[in-house]
Amino acid sequence: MRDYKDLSNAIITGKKNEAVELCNIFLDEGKSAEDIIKYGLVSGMDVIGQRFKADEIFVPEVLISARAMQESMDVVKPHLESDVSAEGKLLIGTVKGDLHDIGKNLVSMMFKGAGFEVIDIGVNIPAEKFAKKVEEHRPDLLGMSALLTTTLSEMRNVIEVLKEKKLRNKVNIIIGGAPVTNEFKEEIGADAYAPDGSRAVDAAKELLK
Amino acid sequence: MNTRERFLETMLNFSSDKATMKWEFGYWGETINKWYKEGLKENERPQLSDEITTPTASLYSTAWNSNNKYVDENELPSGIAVTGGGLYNPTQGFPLDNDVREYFNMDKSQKLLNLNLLFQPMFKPEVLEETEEELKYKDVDGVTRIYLKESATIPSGWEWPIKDKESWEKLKSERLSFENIRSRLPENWGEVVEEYNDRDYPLALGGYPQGYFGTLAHLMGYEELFISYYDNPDLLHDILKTFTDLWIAVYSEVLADIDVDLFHFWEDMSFGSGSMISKEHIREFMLPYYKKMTDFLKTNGVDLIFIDTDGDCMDIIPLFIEGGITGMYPFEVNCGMDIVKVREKYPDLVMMGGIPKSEIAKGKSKIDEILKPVKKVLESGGYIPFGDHLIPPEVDFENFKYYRRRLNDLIENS
Repeated sequence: MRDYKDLSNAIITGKKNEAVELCNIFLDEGKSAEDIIKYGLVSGMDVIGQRFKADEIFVPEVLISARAMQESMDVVKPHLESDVSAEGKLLIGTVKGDLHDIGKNLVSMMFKGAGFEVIDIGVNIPAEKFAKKVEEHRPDLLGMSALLTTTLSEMRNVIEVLKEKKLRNKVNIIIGGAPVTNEFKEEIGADAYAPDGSRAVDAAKELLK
Repeated sequence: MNTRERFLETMLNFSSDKATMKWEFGYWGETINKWYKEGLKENERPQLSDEITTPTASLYSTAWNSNNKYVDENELPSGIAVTGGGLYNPTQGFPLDNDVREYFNMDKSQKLLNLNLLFQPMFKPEVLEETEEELKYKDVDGVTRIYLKESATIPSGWEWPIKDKESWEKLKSERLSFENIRSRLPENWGEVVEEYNDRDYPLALGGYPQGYFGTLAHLMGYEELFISYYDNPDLLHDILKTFTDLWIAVYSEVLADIDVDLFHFWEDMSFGSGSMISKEHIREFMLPYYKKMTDFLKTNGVDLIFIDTDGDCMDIIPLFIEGGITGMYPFEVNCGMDIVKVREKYPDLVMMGGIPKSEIAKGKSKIDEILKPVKKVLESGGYIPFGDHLIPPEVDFENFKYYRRRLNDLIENS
């Protein structure tokens, strides 16, 4: 008899075929999609987040687990009876002038794994577009990423545009990327800085308390 | 003593009574553009080369030389790097600084031997799509890249040549032949040998993107590489083995004719929270190849072997040392790197960099503070101090002048 712990373990070890197979078995057994997600998939990704933060696993391990989670979600999602109430909604993008997406993608994966709804608006996003998307989607959190020192100032521009459009107080802002520091967060008036995806999830949960 | 002799004396023998190199890693183009307006005397503006020679020298050259309405013809693309001695030249189509060096009486730059270490024949640069805002093109290494003209930052990979075993086998059979290795050397090899055997500056081999994480990430893309550690380990080993054997074959030809002073691996495999891959993966996919290459280099007289890796690399330094590495840079301070601690823990490791570049923007007292650890490490030798990456545009020329003059004093009086 297989249970949710087996599914969690398949997610933790990145065994996507096994995870998908278990999801199908559980659905056939009449288990609810909501429970499969909560007790099998999200609980597995929660362990991944903790282990990543503790330096027990690294980026490749997070990626294969996130892949197993995503393929499992594709199987389970059509069976949801209602929208699962997400932990929160994250809108995320890389700032204008910067095409780097791996950091942003990892953060997105961590948030999805932690049960957040994630809207990824891509790379090279101008401040006006960030503001437009915030207005459109009304996220709880806005994540901004930059890898290059020369594009950092764009984060400040985004916050200024949000202020101009009276949107700043309606969203929590988390920033990250190689050149970003806590001091820079203070300087531009963001709400949180996180050096990696796992810590970004922690910061988000703290902000949404 | 000339620059080369002082470099070797400082780095090989840890001499602290000889002034170490006065180098910077480099500067962003926007920084240099700004400094010219703030008082840097313009005698010899950094020059872009539009000549396509090898992937070592000419990567991104297609982008830097594209028609760009956002870049004034008298200015540099804001996101280009200008090399300052600590970062070798030629590399990635980056121009070499002369005016900052002249202004502060700094040392001649190290040079990198311009060899083809990737695909031969290299790919012909090809523009795939171009608008006023963007350039999408295939580069000399077979990577399709996108260049954003307004920010003019380093082009980003869009599609990579190694996608799977099939694409790798095709590349291997068509562009990685071990016959006619000498075609990977400059055509005027005789003149090159003559020039380099009569040099007064350090000469390096390797360079971007040569590394055992770096080359894979460069030719496959990061996400494909990370997944391949689990899905395709045999493919990764075959790529690593092939390039190691190829590089050794090329360097055997070079080292038969020229004495080389140092070697650069490029990895950039750490971020703010540490290494991107596990120690187990480093042991399996990097160390055997490091050991083979460093054994070869040391047997052939290249005793200074560096790794360029950004981010927090403290935990993986012992693995690199086990792999035969003798030096590292640039020790990014805002990621937690501390040159004093590194020196205490690994006293035989030579170091370059370690000064928090963005802090220079904060004025004299902050500059005095960030130079304190520099003084301490300089006293023990084996160290070239400079900013822990390219000097960013928020550093104005006045603050840079104060910082660089103070640093030069420390170097001269150490």
